[in-house]
Amino acid sequence: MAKNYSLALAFLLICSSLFGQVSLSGTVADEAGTPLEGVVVLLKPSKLGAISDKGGNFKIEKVPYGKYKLEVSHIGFGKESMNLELNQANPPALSIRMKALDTELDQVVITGKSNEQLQREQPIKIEVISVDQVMEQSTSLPELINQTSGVKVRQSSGIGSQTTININGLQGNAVRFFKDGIPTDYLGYAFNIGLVPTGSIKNVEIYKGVLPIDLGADALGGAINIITTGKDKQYLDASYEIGSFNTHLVNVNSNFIIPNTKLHVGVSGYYTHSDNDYDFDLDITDFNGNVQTHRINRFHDAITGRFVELNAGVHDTKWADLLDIKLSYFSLDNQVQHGIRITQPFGGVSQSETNQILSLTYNKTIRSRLSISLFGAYSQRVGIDQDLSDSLYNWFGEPTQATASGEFQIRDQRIDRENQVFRAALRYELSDNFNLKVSSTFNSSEQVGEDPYGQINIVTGKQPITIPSTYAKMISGIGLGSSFFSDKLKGETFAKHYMLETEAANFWGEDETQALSHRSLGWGQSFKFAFDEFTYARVSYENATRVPESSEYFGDNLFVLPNSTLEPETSDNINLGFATNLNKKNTLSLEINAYYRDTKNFIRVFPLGLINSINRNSDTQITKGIEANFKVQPSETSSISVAITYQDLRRTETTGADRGLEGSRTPNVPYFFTNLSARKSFNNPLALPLKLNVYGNYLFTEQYYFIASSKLLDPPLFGPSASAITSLIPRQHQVNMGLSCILEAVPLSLNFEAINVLNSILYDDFRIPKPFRNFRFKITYRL
Amino acid sequence: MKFRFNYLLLTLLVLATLSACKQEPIATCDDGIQNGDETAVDCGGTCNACPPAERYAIFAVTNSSDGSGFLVPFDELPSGEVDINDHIASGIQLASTRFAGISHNGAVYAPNNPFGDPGVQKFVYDEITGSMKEAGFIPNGALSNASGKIFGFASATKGYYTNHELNTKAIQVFDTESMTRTGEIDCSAAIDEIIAQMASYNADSIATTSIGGFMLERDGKVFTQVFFTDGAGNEVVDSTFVAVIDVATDKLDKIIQWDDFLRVGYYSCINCNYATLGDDNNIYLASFIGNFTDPEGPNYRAIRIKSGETEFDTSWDINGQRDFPNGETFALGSQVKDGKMYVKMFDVTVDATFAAAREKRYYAYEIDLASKTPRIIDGIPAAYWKSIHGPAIYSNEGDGGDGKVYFVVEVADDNNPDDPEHGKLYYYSYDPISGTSKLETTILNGQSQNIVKF
Repeated sequence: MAKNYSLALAFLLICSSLFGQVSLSGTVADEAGTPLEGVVVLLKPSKLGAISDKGGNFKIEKVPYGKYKLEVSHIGFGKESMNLELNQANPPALSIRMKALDTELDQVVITGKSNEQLQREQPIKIEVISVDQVMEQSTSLPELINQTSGVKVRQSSGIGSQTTININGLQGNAVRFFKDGIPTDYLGYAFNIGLVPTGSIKNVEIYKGVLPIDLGADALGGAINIITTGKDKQYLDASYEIGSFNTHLVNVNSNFIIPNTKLHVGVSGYYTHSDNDYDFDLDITDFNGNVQTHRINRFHDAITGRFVELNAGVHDTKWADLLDIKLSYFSLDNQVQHGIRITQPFGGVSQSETNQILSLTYNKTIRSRLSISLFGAYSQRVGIDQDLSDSLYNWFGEPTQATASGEFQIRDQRIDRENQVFRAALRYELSDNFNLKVSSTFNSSEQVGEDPYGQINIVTGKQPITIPSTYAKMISGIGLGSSFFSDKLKGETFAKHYMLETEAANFWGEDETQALSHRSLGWGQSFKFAFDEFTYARVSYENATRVPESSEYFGDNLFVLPNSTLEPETSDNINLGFATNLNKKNTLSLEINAYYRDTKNFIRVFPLGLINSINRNSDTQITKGIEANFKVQPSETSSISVAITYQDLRRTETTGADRGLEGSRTPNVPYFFTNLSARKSFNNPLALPLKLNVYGNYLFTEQYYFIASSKLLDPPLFGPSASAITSLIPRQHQVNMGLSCILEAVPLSLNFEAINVLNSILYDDFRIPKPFRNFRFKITYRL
Repeated sequence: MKFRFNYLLLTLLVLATLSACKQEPIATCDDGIQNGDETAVDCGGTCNACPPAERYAIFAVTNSSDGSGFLVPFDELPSGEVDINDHIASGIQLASTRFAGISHNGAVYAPNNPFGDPGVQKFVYDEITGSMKEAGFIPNGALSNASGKIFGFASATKGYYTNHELNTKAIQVFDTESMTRTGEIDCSAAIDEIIAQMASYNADSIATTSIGGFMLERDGKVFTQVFFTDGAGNEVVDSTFVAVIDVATDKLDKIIQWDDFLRVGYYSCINCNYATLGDDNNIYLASFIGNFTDPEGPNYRAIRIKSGETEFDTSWDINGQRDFPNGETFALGSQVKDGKMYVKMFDVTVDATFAAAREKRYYAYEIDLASKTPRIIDGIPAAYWKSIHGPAIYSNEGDGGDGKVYFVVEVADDNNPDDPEHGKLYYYSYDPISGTSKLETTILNGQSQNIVKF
């Protein structure tokens, strides 16, 4: 394993700048000079790195001045390293030659690790989905996330419908959403994961268990952080997707660097439309009492979302690594087909939203030790909910009976919301072994509305909707990162402070509003020990608090009613993880994670009557779960992975009449599910100038209750199908398949995907049927 | 040989006797004992079908947050400590258990199917599996705000219900055996006539009409309320209209009017006993929650239609705020027996702030109908307002029953999570003859309403 570097650079120039950052680029080739694709280039001890492209080129951005160990690795070539020091603004490009391994030698083949893989190996459990690597696929974001172990996404119906993500047994608002590390409250529906196209996303990070303080969040043990493509690079991506149910998705994502300047400007946007008029089977008892199964077509479920964002700023200057101002506009038109259950169809209920957002991002690393990240955003959101139909409808889309009181609750509601979010985060490298992080996120919103038909508080005589409601939350944290034994043992210790002030309109009683104030502390600790390059164990604990969202207090003025008496949830979370390779070639790997959560004051969305729901504190939920991920890579062009999750979510410390539910499973949460994914690539098939990717996945979900039922009535795992029980969501098998074609001559890719190939009957929350077999076609241009 | 003959004779005699016994059952259907292939005394098998076995059932909410729970059967009137958990294996899970059902002709009828969809749902007891099972469902339409959505029974096999999606000015007829809709009683002419009479003042504000709220049969007539509401769901006229339907002809006789609006029956709470038939054969109608902006008060009233009549008794009503010494109010309607009315009430007036309704002052009362004097029944503790159900009488002395009045009592303080009373619900009985009360049943692990006897 000899090395052959030809490094045409000098690193001994004296730096005159105090705040230097550079871009390090180069090429990697084999001994014959043939460019090597997929070589992992890492700058240790930083977490910066890159993977070489087809031409063997790589570029590592925003590298702070300092001393590094450059490490390159590639399958069949082993690993090489060298020391270098970066202290000038424009270091010359590196030219690296690697020598192939003697394959006859009994040698451990070391494969490189991407940034995503490095994230996965943090002391805190993080799953990273490299969305940009499957950008050409028409797979939707919820479906991509669904392929991760321990994670289950459920949608209330078709495209754009409300999604619920369950991470390790927690769901709803217990799971927080972030865009580039910022809580997405200010974005409203614009960043609903059921709506946002994958084209604008680089990675999706899924945090399980402990949340690092830089996220500045109060999640109970789960978060989704959507990372968008950086603004210090130049790119132009565009895609158009057409699918069943008159679905059209257009996405443009661009950033241009003005030549010879540090200035950049960009335009991004998406347009999503779907009629969502899919068929499903429904047993309808007609008004004469006769039951018949009908093939029903959803007739009032179209959604249209439009988002446009302009951004401009500077990057890689002395005073800012990135300064970016964004101006965004979003609008949504959404027909509402039914409430949380399919009991009664609506033909005239609708919802719309507009949102104008101004945001500013500032990042700077000083002397490679101190990193500062600031973010501020202001948004004005207007939501309109209407139930003004003068007729009721049946499931055949026919008007039946005249109504003067709407289809379920007459309303012509407009809610004006103003949101602000500010976040400051600092990271300071105390030494090679320790770093200090401080973060604080402030989030506030104020809303006021009007509705000529709005409910009146009979005591005060006022309409609660017209009374301004306010909500302010600040989450602050301090953390210490540490590493010992040559990075074999890594740790994170942190403490968080939670602050909440809210005043919400009162629907009942003498007081016009109800105020709520909360202060509490939490802490956490995580360790990761690496036995070797590919085998590690991880343990983490967090005493977590989750302050309810404003939407939980105020409701959505549609189906979710307000509850101003909601108390924050608290949870003790323990996560254990172990990962290892199962063979020397590292083509077989296994990861197992186990988790335990003791969640008090558990907030659940409860159906209220047949249509409405409300967020309520309930008793304690004990969650015990285990998930396993087994990956096989028979060759460089094929991979198979199996993810299995079993989670036991049980309600305990029940009180009152609910004592009969002691030990019962938490309803509406799947407790056993698996995902089998397979992928095979063909480079230049039939000598054609293209690459083909064929992929498929199979998702299995065991039957589960959507209404809380006694522990005595738990159907056994893999027991006989109990689909006749009306409160049970039957066992489900879903197979999706796709084919991507990436052209070499032009930066175009084509994708065809078939969803629910087996035409199975699939369900979502509350036994709402999902579409039968359907198709999508996507064309992507990526410069 | 003689011996042989005698033996043969004896054998023939026995065989003759046995064959004679085989033919006996038909002749014994009235012998007062269970024999032959009878499944009970003198019924079943080749005899006439047996009358339904007397059973009891409880609708128990087991998840207070969403109102879901179970319908569980009992072989006899539950007594002592009863844990709902011990009975759910023979029960049926229901998404909506808050509004319990009633019984009719050996079956239980609930206002929701197990999914929670509104309608008329029939449940029967399956003798083979020993558990409750579904026996037919008729939906009653959309979830509009219109008042009503009710069902009742006109005869053994005929029931009435409302479906505002089909017709807001009609009553639907159904067959309780086949659980299918069999017809409609159109009341539109009479309703339109009332609207025409209102034209002089506020007919324009009538956005919808509906029928329901309560439904009660007496002497071949069915009584049910007619509503005239504006777009916001408020009653347009301060009057109570009741439709009188002739069961024999399935025709509307007339719509009668009481000059004050009462929402009789509390939004179709069929198990609540706010509209009842007294042992004096009078119909007693009561309002639970009224209109607080009504200058005459929030309508905590009881009115009546006397035996043999089909008009309101305009000479009689009870208004707690007017007639009772402390202005005791709430839920006046309920069981009437021997000139006494049995209700649950607060011992003070409940005003629009509902302040009194949050206190532990919800008592079992006996009201003397002649003097309109209320009296708190000794031995039944003050409770919190949780169960909205008026008391029930499961069987009168004439039926061979105990003739007692049963009150649902819940005493746990929601503001004190450590109150040991949480998770318990009591049935207290009151014996009007002896004047004594008694704790009969404690229900654990479920919030129940009035027990259903079927």
